[in-house]
Parts: sequence; structure tokens; C-alpha cells
Amino acid sequence: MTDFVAELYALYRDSLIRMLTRRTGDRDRAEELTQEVFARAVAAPPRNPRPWLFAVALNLVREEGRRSVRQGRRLELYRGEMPTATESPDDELIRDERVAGVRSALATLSERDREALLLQAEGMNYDEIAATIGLAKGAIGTTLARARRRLVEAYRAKEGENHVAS
Amino acid sequence: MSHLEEGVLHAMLDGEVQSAELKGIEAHLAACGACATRLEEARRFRDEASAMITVLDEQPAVARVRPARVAAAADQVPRPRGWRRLPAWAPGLAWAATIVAAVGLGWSFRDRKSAAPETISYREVGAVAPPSAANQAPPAAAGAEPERAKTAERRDRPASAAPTPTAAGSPAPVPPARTEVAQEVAVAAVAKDQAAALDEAKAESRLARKSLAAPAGASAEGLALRAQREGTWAAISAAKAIEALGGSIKLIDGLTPNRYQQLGDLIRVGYDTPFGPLLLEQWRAANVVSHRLIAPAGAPVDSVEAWKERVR
Repeated sequence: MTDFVAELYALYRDSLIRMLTRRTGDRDRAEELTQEVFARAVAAPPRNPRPWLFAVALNLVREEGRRSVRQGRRLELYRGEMPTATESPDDELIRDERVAGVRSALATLSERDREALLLQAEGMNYDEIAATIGLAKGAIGTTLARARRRLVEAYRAKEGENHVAS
Repeated sequence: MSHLEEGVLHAMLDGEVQSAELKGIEAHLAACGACATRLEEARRFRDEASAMITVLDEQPAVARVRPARVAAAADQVPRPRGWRRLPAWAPGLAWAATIVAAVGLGWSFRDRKSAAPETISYREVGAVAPPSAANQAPPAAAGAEPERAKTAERRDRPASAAPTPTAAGSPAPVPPARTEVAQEVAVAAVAKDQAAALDEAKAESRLARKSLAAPAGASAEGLALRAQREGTWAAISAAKAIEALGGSIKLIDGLTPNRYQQLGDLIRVGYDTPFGPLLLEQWRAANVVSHRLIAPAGAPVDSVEAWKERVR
């Protein structure tokens, strides 16, 4: 790894993993994808690194989404089912419902809205978000406004359904 | 009078409006009640959405093992050559399936115990509490912090450094030359090994929790805070955080918070920095909001000092 990429790795690895975990819901996969992103950065060091790294990461997620079957998926199931002793079943249930609710609300957003939201949550400014997802800077405010509103409304609607059902 | 677009309101909240434009927008907001209301609504959406995003950082369900589901899924796992199917009547079928699953994730999971939610080591910069509330400050966890940092360091090990034995989904690493009995013995050994790794992970987790819950002094409040720390931080909205702190909140000037969390009487405001998450933990005691800054371990001292100076 070149010094430049090593520096990028130190600066952005955690942020990339966090963003990818939020996007995919799979921390291990997020780490693998992050490795792939930096492998590509070694091959072709980017000029505008932060947007480049995140754009590559999001492209990888999209590519992966298009693949219907991926070897090893089955075992993720088992990993998700290993027991822990740190939380009571009630706490687990509440947390699971909350995470599932947010994930399901996030899934209702368009790809672009979702990405803008996740990038902004990583502390990116509008210039960087625009460069990463290929939008004009002037459109980012509107994109984020729509994304935030839809996310919150979708979550509230889901919560409302649950209350009616219970 | 035309109203401000929602995108402009959000850009303003995100600090993305140039100062030249800002004057005009502020003048409009001062004169237009409808837009001022919409600005508040936009602020609520922004804060709530930010808090929701941070909820995704909570580790996914780690539910109890469900034997039937595991057994069903195990049928689809590629098996090593010479695998002997257990009779359908075997009461231990679920256990066997569990062991098969354990083999699948066996080696990889040994290094995956590091996949705990908190993967960044922190250092506390110092609690700031008025003298009257000093004895009620949450614990500094002195002495325990290095241990925690050590654990976090291990967790931060790059994935490339970890051995990558069996590709997920490929058969268990049992040499083909072994007999069936030998295979089962090997399978059991791997499962036992994994159980030991799990125990170790749990012990680490308990240690980390203990570090967090280090003595806060003998005050009842300190003990209560300590007990609270055994719980889980819940994502909340900014409004709720302010309400929990009695109507005010401390923020770091110049940084945009992206999450608010609550654990009992403690409130955390989180920021993202290039060095990792920065946390401003605060609590109300004796009618005063006290705080302490928890900076990412890799943050340079001058950055940390600058953040400390900008707590308002």
C-alpha cells in the first residue's frame, strides 16, 4: 500500500465501514467491501479521494445488489443466530424492532436519496455528496430534504401500523 | 411573497448556505411565519432522520439459536465428502445441525468476535462539572480505560490481517482422507474451539462493560449512573435530548451533531470526525448541565483541545 493510500485508509476506513454497514446491514460484508475499495485505490490512486472512495463503495453495493446469488450467503444466517448473553430477550426484541423499522423505512427511499442521506451522516458536505453521487450541488438540499422527510414518515407509518396491529 | 424552498431550509440547517444568501433568507424567515414554522419542521425531520440513521449502528439481532431453522438451513450447506446423514428420528438432530453450522462459521468466527458494535477506541478528555455537581459526575473509568482501548485496538485490526481460512459457504475444513468418525470428532473439536472463543468474547465484553461502569464515587447518584451504564444507549431526537436535560443542551460550536442518545439521565451528542466518532456526554445535576468529551483515540491533541474550547 502506498503512503498516500495508507493515509486514506487511516482517515476513511472506519467511516466507510460504518456507511456500508448502515447501507447493507452486514458489518462483515462492509469490511470486505472496504478492503476492495482500498485495493482499487492502490491500483488507481484517486485525485479527490473522499468522494471517490465512497462512490466506489456505493457502486460495489449496487453491483452486489444486482447479483442474485452470492456464495456464502447461507452462513451469514448462522452468524446472525449465535447467542449472546449481554442482553435480555426483551431488550433484544426492542432493539431488533427498532433496527428493522429504520431499515425498512430506509428501503422505501430511492437509491439516490438513501445514498445522500448516508453520506451526509458521514459528515460529508454538499460538494462532496454531489461529487460522490453525481448530482449538482444545488440539488443536494432538495434531495436531503426529501430523503429525510420520507425516511421519518415511512418510519412513523410503520410504527402506526404496528400500534394498530397490536 | 414566495416562500423558501424546503431544500434551501435544509441547506441552511446544514450550514451550506453562503453568507451572502444567508442574510436574505434570514430576513425572509423573520418576516414570514409560515417559513419559520417550516424551518422548525425541517429541523425536526433532519434531527429525527439523523437519529434514525445511527440506530443502524446497533448490532443486528443476535437471537437465540432456533434449532428448526438452523436444521432446515443446514440441509443446504455443502457437506464434506463422506458426510453421514443422521437418521431423521435422532433426537439430537437439532444439535447436529447446530454443529454443522458451527463448522461453517467456525474458523472465521474466531476472529469475528471482534465484530462488536463499538470498534473505535476512545479516550476521555475530561469531565466538566461545576463544583456543586462535581461529586455527581459520571465515572472517569480511570485505569480501566487502557484495558478497553486495548480491546478496541484488537477489534480494529484490519480485516486483511485476520486469517481468511474457509470462504464462507465452502465446506468445513475437514481433510478428505479422514473417516466419518474422525470427521465428527473434528467437527466437535471445532465446535468446542468455537465455544471457547465465544466464552472469551463474552469475558471481553463483560470486561468492557465493567470498565464503563467503573466506580463513580460513593454517592447514590454515582451508583445510579453506574447502574444505568449497564443498559443500552437509545437513539432519541434532539428535542427529546433537550427535554431530558431540562430544556438546554451543550453542543460543540462549528460541528454538526448527527446523533443523540440516551441512557437513563445521561445524554450523548455524537459527531463524526475524520478520526472517528466524537461524543459529548452530558447530564443534569443540581440544576446545571455538566459534560465530558469523549474523543476518538486517534484524534490529535490540538483538535481535542479545540473541541473542548468550543463546547457551548
